[in-house]
Amino acid sequence: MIHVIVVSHGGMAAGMMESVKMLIGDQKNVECITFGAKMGAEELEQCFAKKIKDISEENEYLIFCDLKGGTPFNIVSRYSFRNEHVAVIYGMNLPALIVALMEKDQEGQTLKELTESISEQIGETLGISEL
Amino acid sequence: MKVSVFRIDDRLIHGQVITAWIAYAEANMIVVADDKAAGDEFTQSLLKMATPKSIQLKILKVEEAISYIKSSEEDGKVLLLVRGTEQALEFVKAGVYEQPINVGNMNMKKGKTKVLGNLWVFPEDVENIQKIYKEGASLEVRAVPTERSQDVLNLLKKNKLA
Repeated sequence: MIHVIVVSHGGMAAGMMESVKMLIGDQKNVECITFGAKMGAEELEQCFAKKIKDISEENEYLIFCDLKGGTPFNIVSRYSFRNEHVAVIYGMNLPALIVALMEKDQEGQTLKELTESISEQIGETLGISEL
Repeated sequence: MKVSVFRIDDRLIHGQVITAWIAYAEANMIVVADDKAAGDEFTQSLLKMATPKSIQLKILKVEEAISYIKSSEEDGKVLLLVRGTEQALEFVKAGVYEQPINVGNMNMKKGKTKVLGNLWVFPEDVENIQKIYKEGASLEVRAVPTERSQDVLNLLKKNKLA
């Protein structure tokens, strides 16, 4: 099973979850974490510790962060450091998240294949309109 | 090489630093002066990844960072980051600092007293801060450049901590 966690500075992650629901309906095994302005890094670490448990081949995690190098990214990177069962995507956007949610439950899907697929599609999700 | 922003931040490089302070400092180099980071492979990889490609990054022990900045003959501006007041005091004693020293995040931990949401102090921090002022330097709290600057010693006095 691949769990998806979406995390941001402020309400972006929660807002994205709302947008996801509007576009593709209710989703399973996806959660969001808001890093609030008054929260310390330790409190955020505890939020992750509660949600990321028993990492294994059968229990993989894909984490979407808003900003590379931001505190949420820095904290979750500890989980992905030298662990192939946790992957972190930074600079998250709605199309990439939707790809992840649509493809994560496919038969025999692995985290490695899922991140490869997202990586292939991500380039087309952000751009300047030529119209 | 000139230190254009000297910041105390227990998160070292993170969102506020990347989005706001690098530009404000007009920095072409970040020096992270931290004994712990200098000896930890994970933290080093993380800091490297967090730093924009156009910015040079040095992760050095405090003592090494002081002599590096003192002796460097390169041009350019440095954003200097330390984790806490203890490290800041070492720079002040060595005469390597930029006024006022910025305090970004000294976050909540057990045993600390709250001064502001992003400024919590251990008794040792209060001592270090007083020593920093005695050396002729000063500290301001400002999480992001556009925020109002507040003098740290005044805040400690208001809270009857100094």
